[in-house]
Amino acid sequence: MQAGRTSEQIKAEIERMFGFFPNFFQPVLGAPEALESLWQEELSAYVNNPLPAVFKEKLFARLSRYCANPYCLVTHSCLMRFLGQSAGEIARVLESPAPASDADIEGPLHTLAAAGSPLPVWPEPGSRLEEALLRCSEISFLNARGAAVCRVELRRLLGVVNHTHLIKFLSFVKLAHLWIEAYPEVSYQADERTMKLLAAIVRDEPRLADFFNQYPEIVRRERESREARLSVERLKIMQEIDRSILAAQSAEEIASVALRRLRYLVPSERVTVALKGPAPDEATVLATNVDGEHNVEAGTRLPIEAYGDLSNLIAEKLQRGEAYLLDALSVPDPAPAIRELRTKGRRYYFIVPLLAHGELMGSLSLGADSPGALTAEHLEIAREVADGLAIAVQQARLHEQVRQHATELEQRVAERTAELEAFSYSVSHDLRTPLLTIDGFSRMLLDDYADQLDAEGQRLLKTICSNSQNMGRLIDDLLAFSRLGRQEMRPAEIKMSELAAAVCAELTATAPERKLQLNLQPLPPARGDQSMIRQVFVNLLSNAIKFTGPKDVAVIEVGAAEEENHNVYYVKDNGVGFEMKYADKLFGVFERLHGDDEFAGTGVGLAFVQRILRRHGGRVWAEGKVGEGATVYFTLPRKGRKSC
Amino acid sequence: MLNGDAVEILLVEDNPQHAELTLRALKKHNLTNNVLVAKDGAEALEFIFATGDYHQRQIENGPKVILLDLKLPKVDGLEVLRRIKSDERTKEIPVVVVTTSEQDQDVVKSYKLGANSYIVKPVSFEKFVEAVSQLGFYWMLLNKPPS
Repeated sequence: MQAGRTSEQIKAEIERMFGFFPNFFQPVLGAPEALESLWQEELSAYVNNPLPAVFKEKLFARLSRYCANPYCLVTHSCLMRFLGQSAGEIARVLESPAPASDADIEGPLHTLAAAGSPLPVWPEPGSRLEEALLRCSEISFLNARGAAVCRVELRRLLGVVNHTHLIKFLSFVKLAHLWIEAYPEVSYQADERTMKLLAAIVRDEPRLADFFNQYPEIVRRERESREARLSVERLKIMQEIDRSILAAQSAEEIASVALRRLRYLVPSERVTVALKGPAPDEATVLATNVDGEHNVEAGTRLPIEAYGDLSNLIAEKLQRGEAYLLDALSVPDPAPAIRELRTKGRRYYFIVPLLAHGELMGSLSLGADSPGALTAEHLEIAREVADGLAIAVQQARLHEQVRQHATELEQRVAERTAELEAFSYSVSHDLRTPLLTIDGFSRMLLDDYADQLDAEGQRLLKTICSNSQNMGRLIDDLLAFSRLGRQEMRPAEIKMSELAAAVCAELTATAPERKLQLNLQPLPPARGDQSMIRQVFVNLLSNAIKFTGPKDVAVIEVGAAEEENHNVYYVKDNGVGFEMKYADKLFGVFERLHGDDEFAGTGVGLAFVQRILRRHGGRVWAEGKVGEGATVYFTLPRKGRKSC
Repeated sequence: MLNGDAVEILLVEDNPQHAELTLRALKKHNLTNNVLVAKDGAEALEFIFATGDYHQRQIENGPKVILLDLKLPKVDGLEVLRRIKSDERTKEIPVVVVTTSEQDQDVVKSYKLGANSYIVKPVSFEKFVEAVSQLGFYWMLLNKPPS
C-alpha cells in the first residue's frame, strides 16, 4: 500500500483502471486513508485476483442477490455483459434459485466429484462444471445446509492456490456487501457506464428490469423470514434443553438432543460436549454429533496433557467464561492431539465453556474446516446452548446424586428393618420362653402342691402366674405394634358398615354377660387395608365395651360424617370417660389412664389405632368427660393413599 | 431309653423345662404313652432315620407323630422338617410344628415344607394345654385300624 496518497491521487488511479469513478467509493472520498484501504482490498481480492474474470463477475453478481443494496447485483451483472456474456446468460446466472434443499446441493457436488482434482483447466463459461463451482461457492458463502461438504469439495478440486484466491474473493464480496449496506445512498444509477450496459441488458431481457427493481424488497423479506426461522430454531433448542432438564433425563441424553438441534443452526461438521473428569487430568466425552465417521464416541476419555501447554491457556479462558478459537494450523510446536487434528485436516474449533454457577463443568466444541464458516452469531447460539447444557448437566448430576442417596437410604432402611425383625424374633422367642416356664412351673406347683400351701402361699403363686401372663401380653402387643409399621398395605374398597357390624357381632359374643345396646349408623365406604381397619374397629369397640363395664346398660354408637376430602367415623360410648386434659396421652404406647385393678390392658390399643390411621393418611382424636363416656373419631381420606 | 420302635410321639425340644411342660400337657390329655424327647435337630434326625444311637431301629416303625420346635441347636427345626418331608419313607409322618409366635415367618416356611399343623406356645400354661389337645385328633386318626 502506498501510504500518504491524497484522495485525488487514488481517485485518479481508480478512474484510470475502470474508465470512471464508481459510486461505490463515494462515501469515503473525503477520507483518503479509508479510500486507500478499501481500494487496496478491492485491487488485491477482486481486480487482481487471478481467477477467470467471467467467473468472478458471475459469482459476484450471483452472491449479490443476497445483499440488501442492489448496487453490486446490478453493476456486476453489467460487468458480465461488458465481458461479452449475453443477457440470457446473465438472467440464467441470476435466476438460479437460492439453495434450499439437499437436492440443490447433491447435483453440483456430484459434478464436482466427477471432475479430476485438482482441476487441470478452468471450466468453460456456461459449462455444468462452472455452474457447479458457482453453486458450491454460493452455498459455502451463505453457510447454508451442506456448506461444510461444499468447502471440502472446493478445496480438493481447486487446489491450494486457486482455493485461496476463491476464499479471498468470497471475503471481499462479503466486505463489499457490508459496505454498501451501510451506505444505502450508494446507487448504481450514479454510475454512467453501468446505466448504459443496463439499458442494453434490459432491452435484450426485459424481465431483468423487474428483477433488479424488485430485488431489494425480496432480500429484505428473505432476511426477515430467515431471521425469524433462526430465532424460532434457537427458541426450540432452548425449549428442548429445558424440557430435558424438567424430565430429569440423564446428562448424556440432554447433551445429545442439544447437539443434534445445534447442528441445524450452526454449520459445524463436528460438535462435541466433554466434561471434566473423572480423573483431574482428563475430560470425558459426554456426547458428540459428527458428519460421517465417528472417531470420538461418548464415554471416550481425553487426556488433557495431549493438548500440551495449550490446555492451560484454554482452561483459563474457559474459566473466565470466554470462548476460545483454536486454529490447529497456527499452534506453534503442537502437542500430539493437535498434530492428530492436523493430519485429519481439521483446523478450526470454537471451544465454549460449560459454566454452571461459576463452576467450569466442561466444554462444548464446534469444529469447522474453513475460516469464517462460524460467525459471531453462531458463537452466540453455541454459548446459549452451552449455558443451558451446563445447568442441565448439573441438574442431571444432582438428580443422579439424589437417586443414589435415596437408594442408599432405602438400603439402610432395609438393613435396619432386617435387624429389627431379627430383634423382634429374638424378643418374641427368648423373652417368652422363660415366661412359659415361670407360668407353667407355678401352675405345676399349684396343681401338685396346693395342699401344702396356705391361702397366702397360693395367692402369691397366682400373682406370679397372672403377671407372667400379663408380661406375655405386653410382649405380644409390642411385637404386633412394631410389626404394623413394616406390614405391607393392601388398599381396597372397604364396606365400613359391614365391617363394623361383623366386629360388633364378634365382640358381643365374647361378653354374653353384658347388656350391650349397639347402635350402628350407616357408614360410607372407605379405601384402605381391610385387615388393618378391622383392627381399628376391634380396638375401639373393645375399649367401648371395656370402659362401659360399670354401666348397667352399655350404649355404644358407631357413626360417620362425610366431609370434603375425607370421612369422619366415630365410636361413642356411655362409659367411664376421661378427663380432656389427658386426651393426648391416650394415643401413646403403654400410656394408660386407669390402673389394672380398674381395667385390664397394656396401653397399646389406641397407639395401634393411631399408627394404622397415620399409614392411611388419616388421623384420630378423642373427646370425653369423666363419668359420661368417650367418643373416638377417626378419618380416612376419600381417595386412598398408597402407603406412607 | 425307650425301645425306639415303640415310640409313638417324638418331641423335639431343646428346652428341658418346656419339654417337661409339654409332657405334662400331653399327660393331661392322656397322651403319655411312648413319648421320646430329642434335645436337638441332630438327635431327632438320628432317631427318625435310624442312624447313630438309633441304628437298630426300623425307619418304617414310626413315630406316629412328631412335635417339632423350630429353634433348635445343631440342626434347626426347618431343616429337620425338610428332611422328613423329602424322604419317601418318612414323609407321611404328621409333623406338628411348635412355635413361639403365630406371626412367625417360620410358620409360613414350615407349611411350605409340608408341616401338617402347628401349635403356638402361649405364655399361659393353661392355654398350652388347650393347644396340645388338638394332638388328640392326630392320635385318634393314627390309632384307627387301617380300613
